[in-house]
Amino acid sequence: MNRLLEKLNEIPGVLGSMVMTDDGIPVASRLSEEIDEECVAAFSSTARLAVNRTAMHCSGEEPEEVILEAEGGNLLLINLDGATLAVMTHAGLELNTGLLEIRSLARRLSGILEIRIS
Amino acid sequence: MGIIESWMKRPRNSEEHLAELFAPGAETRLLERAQQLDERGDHLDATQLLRAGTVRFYPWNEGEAALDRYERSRARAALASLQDAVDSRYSAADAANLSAALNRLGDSSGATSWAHAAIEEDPCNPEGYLAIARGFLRRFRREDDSVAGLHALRYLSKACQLDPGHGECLRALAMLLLLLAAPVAASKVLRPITRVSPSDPIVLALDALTKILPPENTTNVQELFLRWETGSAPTNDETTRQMIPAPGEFDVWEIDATRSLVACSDGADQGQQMTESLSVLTGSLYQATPRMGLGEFSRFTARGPGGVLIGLAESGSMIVSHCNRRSLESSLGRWLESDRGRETIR
Repeated sequence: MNRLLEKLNEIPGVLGSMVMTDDGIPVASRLSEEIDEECVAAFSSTARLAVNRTAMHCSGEEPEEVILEAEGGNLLLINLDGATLAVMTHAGLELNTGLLEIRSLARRLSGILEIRIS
Repeated sequence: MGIIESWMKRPRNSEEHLAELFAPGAETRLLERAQQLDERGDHLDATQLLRAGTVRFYPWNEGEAALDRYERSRARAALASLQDAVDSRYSAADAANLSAALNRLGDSSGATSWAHAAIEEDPCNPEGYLAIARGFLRRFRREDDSVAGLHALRYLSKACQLDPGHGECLRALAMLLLLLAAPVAASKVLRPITRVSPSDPIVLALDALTKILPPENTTNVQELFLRWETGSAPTNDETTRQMIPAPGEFDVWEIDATRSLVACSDGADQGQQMTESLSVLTGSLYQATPRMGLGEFSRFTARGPGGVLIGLAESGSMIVSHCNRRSLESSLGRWLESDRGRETIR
């Protein structure tokens, strides 16, 4: 899992990544030292929960991915079936190109989690 | 009512006395009682009484200081045996106990690493999560640090999920909910303890607070945190709500800086649950990005089998829009970025 997170961090524009449980407990992380892992996990989970709840009211389905854009950077939250992959990127990053690579690595992470659970 | 039934309904003397310690103005008596318990060796009872007292009389500096003294002296006395236990048999519970003691003695990095070691040793044992949660809960109570409160909630939810009947987890979660002024939720959490131990100090603190705090009108814990932080609840006045003209395939809502729904498109869900979700969504996103070091929130996009949901920040307020068809994401984005025709109507 850590190797895949390191690979994710090699994608241009990615600042760091982590896998956390759906309730926001960090499982594995590769974030730079100045980023507070607990804080990212807590607020990612809060934001994801709030978006999920609204989406459920709209369509009865939870989103597979959420992208938060802010002045200083972006945060991608991708559903890994029971866990969440959080990826921090630079602001203004062209999300379409990097996103394909991030999604592909997310699928591989999801596979690892499935193996661990079974 | 029969004699036996009426006798059973009467509170026991000890219960009556204990309940009096949570009455208004009883801080000094509660402190004295905790001291007596501590002096006769009932350290755990003394600590539990004081913990409940700090919630009942929050903010209560004298009680906090006494609790701090008790907890530290208990931790100091137990440290050597806890270290021995970890060295000799090493279990998740031992690591969690050592973590809690180190935390009380101010060694936060040692406490964190032992708590994580406990979780790693047995991820299904609640003790490691509880040890971490307690440290955060203390910080939330003493420093009014909402981030610490949120951390405490995450770890307590996990611990309670792993062992739904764990007394200490339930007590800690109820403490957090009472600090968030949510007596109804706290009472639900404490139900298993109330049934078997009606004179448990935290139950008595809850009883006393229920008489003072109005029942909360939300079951959403994120909403409780937002209310605690901002000191206000959204108003959501339907009579002043305006209409946003939008293409038929888009549902659109506008939430203002007070997190109230002020306008929406024709046919968009305006039910209570949706309105509350939108309030929480707006408050949570505006809080989240600066605290994660990403700066001011500007936009979110959520994609899934149910379509696409986009939110756009607008000077403290937010426009949220949903479309069932993901293929219309670009059109929805473009429409949101344009003036949407709102300003001409309102």
